[in-house]
Amino acid sequence: MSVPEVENGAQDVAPEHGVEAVVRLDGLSKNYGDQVILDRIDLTIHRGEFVALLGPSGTGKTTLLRILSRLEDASSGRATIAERTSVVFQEPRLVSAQRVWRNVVLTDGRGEKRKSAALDALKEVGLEAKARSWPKNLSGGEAQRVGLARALYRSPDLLLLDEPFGALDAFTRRKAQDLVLRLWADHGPGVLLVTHDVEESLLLADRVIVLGGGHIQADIPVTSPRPRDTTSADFNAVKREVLAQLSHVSPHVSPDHPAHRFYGRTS
Amino acid sequence: MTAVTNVAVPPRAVRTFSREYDAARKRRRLPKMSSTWNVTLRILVPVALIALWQLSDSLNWVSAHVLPGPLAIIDAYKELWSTGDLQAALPISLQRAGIGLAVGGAAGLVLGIAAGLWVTAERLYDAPLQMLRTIPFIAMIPLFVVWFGIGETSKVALIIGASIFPVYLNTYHAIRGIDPKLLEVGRTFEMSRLEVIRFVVVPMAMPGILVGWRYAAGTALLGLVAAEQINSQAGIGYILNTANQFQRTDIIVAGILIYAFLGLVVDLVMRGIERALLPWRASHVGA
Repeated sequence: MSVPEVENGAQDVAPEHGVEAVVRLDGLSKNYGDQVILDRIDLTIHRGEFVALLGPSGTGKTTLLRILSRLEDASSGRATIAERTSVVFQEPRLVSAQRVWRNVVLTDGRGEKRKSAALDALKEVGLEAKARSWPKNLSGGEAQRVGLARALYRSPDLLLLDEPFGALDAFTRRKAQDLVLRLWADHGPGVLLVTHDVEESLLLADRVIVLGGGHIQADIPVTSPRPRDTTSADFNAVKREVLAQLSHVSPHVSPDHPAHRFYGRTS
Repeated sequence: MTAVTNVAVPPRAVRTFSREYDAARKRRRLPKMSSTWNVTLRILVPVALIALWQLSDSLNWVSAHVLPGPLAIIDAYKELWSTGDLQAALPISLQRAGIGLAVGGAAGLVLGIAAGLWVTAERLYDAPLQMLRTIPFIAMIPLFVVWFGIGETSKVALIIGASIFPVYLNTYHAIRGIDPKLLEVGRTFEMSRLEVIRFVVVPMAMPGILVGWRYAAGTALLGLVAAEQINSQAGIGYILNTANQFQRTDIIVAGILIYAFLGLVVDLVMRGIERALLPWRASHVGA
């Protein structure tokens, strides 16, 4: 097996289109033994770019996100990832023993003294009033917004969103999507959103990437201006294209493809 | 009846129930108790038992030599107080239990944290500790007497031994029980190991750690009782031994009740500490 070569730091990446890349993957592969999860992925995301990653369960979405968030190493290839990267997970992952504001600054060693900064971040997600609450007293939508505030607090160059709205009801979900768009517009990080929801990806992203069989099957630009109308002809044309791509995705490359392993997981 | 659906629904009688709701009417399910009534209910059974106990003494159902009544016990306390025995014994016993709990608990805490955080530490000493744990510590008394003599050292050593394991086990399990997903947050956000321990691990493990200390306080008291059976020259155990020699059942019962009272106080103190340290866990009253 070849030695994984994963590098952090965007400093050595030449600007492209005048904007720095926050993710650059060159032939990134991941395998567990003989089972190939990711097969020579090439992907570049720039600052200020909103990319959605679509694909059925078992196509390696979660693995890719875990590599980008340094939770896993790739098997081969090269990854250049922005140092300041924040993740919003599927579940809020708040420390229930710490008050909301402390959860926001948790990732800052000087946690004690950063209360005003925490309050600023909470204000951006509209939860200033909950700063002194305990996480268990938050609703699901509020907890995810605290997760967003925690991610923003680091002023990330790259924001990774792992199906952050999956567990929310339709109404709360729409409000959270609007919030993410606003925060993205205000702060301009590169965003990679992993989702199962085609409509969500088209509402939010500049580019929709369809992952299938461990490689990038399609990279579809979404150019219509925001806010987007889900009933417009434009929108539905792109939606049909994405759905067509998704229907081509074979859930697994071969009968013994690792996809089988991941069905129980949240890929 | 008019059709509400165009799907063929097989006929079936539907049984329903109906209730009238009237907010003005008092709720019946959960009667709101006055605090006086609440307290009365709580002390009813203990008070009745004590009254029965006194009655059995006054009516000579049980010989005073076998079980003296509550009033005789109060007299015994008065006697112990006037001779100064009680005032002399309590601090000594409390000191033994306190030192033993503090040293044993601290050792258990350090070992538990290390084993929880580092696999190397766990591999090094978890198995031997688990083996030692299975020995009932009271069985160690004869050995402790041989090792440490019949003085204070063997008594405190026994209490230390009794306190280590509850704290060790609960601390270790509390740390291992932390959701790995929370620890992943620390990794993705590049928190240092020390920050993760301070802001995530310790706060999240605190409930388990405190359970360990509460257990340890209980076993320390048990250790105290057992240790004070060894040739006590002072302390509550000494009062009990002396009373035993003179067949003073009233003083024996008085001594036993002091142990019980100490257990109660220790439990109250530990609950207070838990409330102070775990505000985020504020337990709710049932129903």
